[in-house]
Amino acid sequence: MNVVEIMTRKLETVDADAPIYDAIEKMIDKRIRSLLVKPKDDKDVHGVVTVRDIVNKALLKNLDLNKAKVRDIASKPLVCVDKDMDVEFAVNLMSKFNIARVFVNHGKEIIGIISLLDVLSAALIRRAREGHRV
Amino acid sequence: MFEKVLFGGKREQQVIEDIKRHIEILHAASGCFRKALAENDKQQLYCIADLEREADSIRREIISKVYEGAFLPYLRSNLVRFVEIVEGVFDLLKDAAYAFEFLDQTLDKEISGECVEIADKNLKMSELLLIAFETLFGKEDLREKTLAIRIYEKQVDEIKHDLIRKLSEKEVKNFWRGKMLSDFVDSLTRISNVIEDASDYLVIINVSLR
Amino acid sequence: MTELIPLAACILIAFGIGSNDTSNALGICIGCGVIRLQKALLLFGCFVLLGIMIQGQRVMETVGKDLLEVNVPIMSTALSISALLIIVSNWKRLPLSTHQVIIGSLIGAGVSSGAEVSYRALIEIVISWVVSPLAAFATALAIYKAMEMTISRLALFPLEKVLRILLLLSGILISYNTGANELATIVGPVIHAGMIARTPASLAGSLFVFLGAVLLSKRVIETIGKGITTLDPYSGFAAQFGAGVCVLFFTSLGMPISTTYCIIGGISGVGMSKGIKTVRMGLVRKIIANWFLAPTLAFLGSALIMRLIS
Repeated sequence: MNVVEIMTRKLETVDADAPIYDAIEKMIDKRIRSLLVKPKDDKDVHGVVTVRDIVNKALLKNLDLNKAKVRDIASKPLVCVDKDMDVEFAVNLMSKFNIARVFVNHGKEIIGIISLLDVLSAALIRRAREGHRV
Repeated sequence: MFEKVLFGGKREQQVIEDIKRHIEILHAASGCFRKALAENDKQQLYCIADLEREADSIRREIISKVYEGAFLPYLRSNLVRFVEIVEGVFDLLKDAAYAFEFLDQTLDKEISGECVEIADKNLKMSELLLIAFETLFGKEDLREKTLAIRIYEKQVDEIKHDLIRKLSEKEVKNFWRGKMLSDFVDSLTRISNVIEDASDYLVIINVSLR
Repeated sequence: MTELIPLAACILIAFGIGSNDTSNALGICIGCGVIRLQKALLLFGCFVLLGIMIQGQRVMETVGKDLLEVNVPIMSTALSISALLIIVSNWKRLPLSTHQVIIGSLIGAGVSSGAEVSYRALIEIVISWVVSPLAAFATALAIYKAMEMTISRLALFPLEKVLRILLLLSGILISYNTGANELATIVGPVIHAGMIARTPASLAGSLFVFLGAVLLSKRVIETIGKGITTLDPYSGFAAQFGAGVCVLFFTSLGMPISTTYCIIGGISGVGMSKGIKTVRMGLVRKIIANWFLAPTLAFLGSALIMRLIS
């Protein structure tokens, strides 16, 4: 199975210069745990900010959520996989970097995101449809 | 006299076959519907109407056979209720098909992708419902199948969320067209909920006898 | 002429067994739709006959010979009082145990007429009365646990099929017991007093039980709403079969015991395994009251009549 088959195409983004509080609000409202951080200009690359980043780097360190910016705690560059890669490759990548999701790219464009939960859901569905031959 | 008990209840076997057939027809109708949406094909809508009629007559046969004396009474009302829940999905398909026809078989560009995606997931859910029912006389675990159905339902829920928001940003130029579009989306998105209800009911039936 | 009295009483009691105890045996089968009423009655009749023919003698001996030496006057009195009490209790819908009434009245008539009563046999019987419901409780519980470990693993529809067969078997077992134990209790005295031979008595007894069931079958349908049939088929089988096995065991020992009380024990056993009290305390008290009341009344009644006669 390729990552393109089970990835989520909807990408929620946040500006690098936005306050962390904006990121928090977006995550809560959309019930997601990570946001793609938009590059500031052509020379910049995408980043990612996750719930883990917020809790560990902002809350625990008592940063002012309204003043500190997303770029202060975001991770760059992204861990990406090409859309035609196998899901297993993506999962291995996630466990190697100890992260819960990777982005999917088609060339230079980010087209989706695949998380452990997506992988689990797809595995369960396949298991249900085909019996225990997963 | 003993045939009924010992040699396997022909009546029970027939009811089981009928229920299977009922769900298979649902699967077929969902397939027609998905095709209709994806290809703007009106012919497929006639297919849905025909299948719905066939399903109706099978449902009536199931109910009458059950109450003529198939299965332990303890099980009977649950089986009938299950069939009626599945019937509810047919009704929604029919409503959505009618609304789609009224919309001249064309969905607005902004939402057609999501609608086809939902129809596709409904199709997969109905297939899983059949697989789930078959676990009741096989060796596989019912819970796995109902979990998969619930996963799909949550996915549809997410798409629905986006869909509704996109719709709310649309300008309504004609009240009736707006209403039909709203009815269409409403029926389309409720199908997955009812299939999920049906699969939950299978779990109830499975546990009730033990 | 006076020989007709015990016979008439016997017939009446057999009738009563037919009308009441059919629901014990087949109520759950009918309520669960395994079998229709008419076929159930036929099945019931057949197995009652089989029961008394195959295994009836032991109980018949205990009641008719071991307990005390029956002669015609004792038997007439005892059976008449029994018939009277059973009819009254049916009419008033009290759960009265046929066995206890008969044993009680036999003892009463025997004692007051100076006949030799075997107190050892009496004690054995009373102990059986106490132990059997408890044994049924344990047996039903054990069966339920065994079911959980075996047939519970089956898929739904195969399980349903298995349960249908099991319920029918259970009903058959109870019917058989009705013949081997209950019917044997009432014809035992008649046979051992020398009035009729065993085979014709068994045949006639079974016939009247069957007639009672057929003619008063409406009552059977009425009583289906209570007791064991309120259980689901799964628990119901465990309770009823557990009771049936128990009664069979005591029958083989020759002890006349009450299927009804065993079934109540069985229901409680299954209820226990689910952690709930299925038998309400009020009912239990009523049952215990009847347990003492029935034989006592029978004893006093027949002792009195016997005294009056002699």
